[in-house]
Amino acid sequence: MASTTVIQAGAAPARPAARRPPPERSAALVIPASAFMLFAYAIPLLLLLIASVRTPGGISIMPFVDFLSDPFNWSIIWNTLRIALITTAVALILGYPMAFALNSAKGWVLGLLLISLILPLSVGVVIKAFSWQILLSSNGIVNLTLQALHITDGPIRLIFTETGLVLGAVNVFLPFMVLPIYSVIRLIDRDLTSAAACLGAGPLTQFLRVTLPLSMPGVVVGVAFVFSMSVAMYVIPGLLMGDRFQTLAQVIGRSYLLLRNESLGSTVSVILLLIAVSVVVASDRLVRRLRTVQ
Amino acid sequence: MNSDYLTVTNMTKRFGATTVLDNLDFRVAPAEFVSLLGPSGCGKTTLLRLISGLMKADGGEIRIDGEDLTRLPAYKRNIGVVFQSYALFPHLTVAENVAFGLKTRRASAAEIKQTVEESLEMVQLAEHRDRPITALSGGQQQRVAVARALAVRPRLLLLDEPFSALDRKLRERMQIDLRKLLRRLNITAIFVTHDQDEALVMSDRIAVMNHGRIEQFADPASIYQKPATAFTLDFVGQSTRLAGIVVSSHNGLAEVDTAAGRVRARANYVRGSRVIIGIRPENVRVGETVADPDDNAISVHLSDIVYLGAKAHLLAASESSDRLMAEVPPAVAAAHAPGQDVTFSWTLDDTLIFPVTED
Ligand SMILES: Nc1ncnc2c1ncn2[C@@H]1O[C@H](COP(=O)(O)OP(=O)(O)O)[C@@H](O)[C@H]1O
Ligand SMILES: [Mg+2]
Repeated sequence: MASTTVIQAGAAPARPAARRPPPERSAALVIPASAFMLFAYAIPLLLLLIASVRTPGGISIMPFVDFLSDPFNWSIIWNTLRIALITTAVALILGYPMAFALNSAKGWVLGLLLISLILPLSVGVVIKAFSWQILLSSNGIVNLTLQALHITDGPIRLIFTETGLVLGAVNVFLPFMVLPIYSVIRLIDRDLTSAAACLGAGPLTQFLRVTLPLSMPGVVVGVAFVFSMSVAMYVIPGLLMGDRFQTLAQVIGRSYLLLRNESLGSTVSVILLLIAVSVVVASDRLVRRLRTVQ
Repeated sequence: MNSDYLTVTNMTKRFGATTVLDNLDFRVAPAEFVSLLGPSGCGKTTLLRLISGLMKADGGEIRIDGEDLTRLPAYKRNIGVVFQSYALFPHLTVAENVAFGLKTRRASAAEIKQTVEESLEMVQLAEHRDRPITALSGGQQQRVAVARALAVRPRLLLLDEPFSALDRKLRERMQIDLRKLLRRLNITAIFVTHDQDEALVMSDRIAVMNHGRIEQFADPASIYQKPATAFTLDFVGQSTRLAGIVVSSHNGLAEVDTAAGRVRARANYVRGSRVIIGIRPENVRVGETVADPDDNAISVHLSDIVYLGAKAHLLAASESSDRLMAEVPPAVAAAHAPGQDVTFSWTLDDTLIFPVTED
């Protein structure tokens, strides 16, 4: 019987060892989550996949071929990818040092930083995007500040530009980059950089050869989060770029809501899903490769 | 002994309001193996971190071979450190860990390869060179940590309780192996431990630390046989410890009243001084007639008999909480029983006496 307490020679027999719940009971613990995942994700995903290959003439991959053979659609894919990659890169560049700042902060400073990072998550995306619309407008605070500092002479166009879109998107997604990286570097044993120092490594070498490689799992998760969210974002481009700028998410929204074209919507959804999954998997692979090469 | 390879002078370290190291002086001779022995929290790790440069002192100076290192950062000191947690790089293999310090020194690929090979050979881990660190046992990881620190030929090796996570058998073997290795390489080493047996077995000299001060710095035999303070008596080895008051003292002979009876010791004290009498258990004879009338003898009531394998301890409780202890062969112990009244006697020379200090 697996749950029998075995007292090992030499071990203090005074207290029974902490028992793990028997396997059948711990399996029961995942039933609610599994059921939820099944109904909320697996079944809809299956339906989506079926819808994407269903044509009046039967099951076929023609919807994909049709969509991908139109050069205009490629420009939409490129828009989507470009904005998502830039957003992810900017979030990473800003978020990585922020995670370090969090890691070295203590007491109330740490509390304040965490709150300022997490609290904005409770403000809806729509509100944030509208706020950015106001901030980025030609007489908005961003332009006024730039002029006051004599960085620009007159108002520059930010709203309805990719720069404005990236700004807004990074603002919304930054916590999803910072928090996973922070949670990983928080667990890096500080003796490791000390050991590197005693082996002759200056601060830069310590960072490049110890901290950076050990923080990569957090980076992968952060990149996966931010990329998959920004490749699929719908509200933010809608409000900061307008209809003129087409992304895959916009196409999906239009096909379902405006055109009532379920076939097109599901096809594009599957394409978007494949892009997101492959970029996430590729970045994870890349990091693993880098690690083994080192 | 030429005692000036490493000199630590007036070392002071404070954390906020607490002074962890207080004006500490410490000198180590070339190729010497010195242990820092003391209870947890007495400042051993702090002293090592100050010497290695991982921590900044609030005052004092550190020199190696005459060169002032006080203001150099750790990465310019070339002092090897073996951390209590080993601090091996989990993302690197065994060989890569050992190569780390050679790479930061921009050694050539051929040199790195050869030194890594030799270093792993040295700790009998050559066949594990390409394994990930996490695949090694605790004892193997410990040896990688030693090999990594030694690969760069540091001018000083610091070890912070390196064997504390290992089981006893393995620990005893590692103690001997490490000692042999360092002798062969002629490396000066400072070894932190809170295990007195480890310190006695391995060290050329032991620095007994308490509350950020070095209480005594001497060879293992002197530390054990001639403890300089009551703390050292307590911390190193076992002993009978009797609190008492000096009732008379002349011509270098003090008479002390203790809860167990009147005891004499070779010392000069002011009458009425509070003192502590110490006797090592192996110096106590049981139930024998007193040869020298100057010897101390007290009759005691045996309370416990403890068998320790090759020897046994007879314990006697006194009226106060002090315990008297005599070491005897197991056969002698078998001839006694708790509850029995016997005489414990020991020579005047074996009677250790210390002033009572506040702490
Ligand atoms: N970074 C620190 N901040 C505050 N107090 C510390 C710090 N490091 C050590 N101490 C204190 O200094 C004392 C000595 O610590 P340490 O040198 O680690 O002792 P040991 O290694 O002998 O067990 C302890 O009381 C500990 O609490
Ligand atoms: Mg310590």
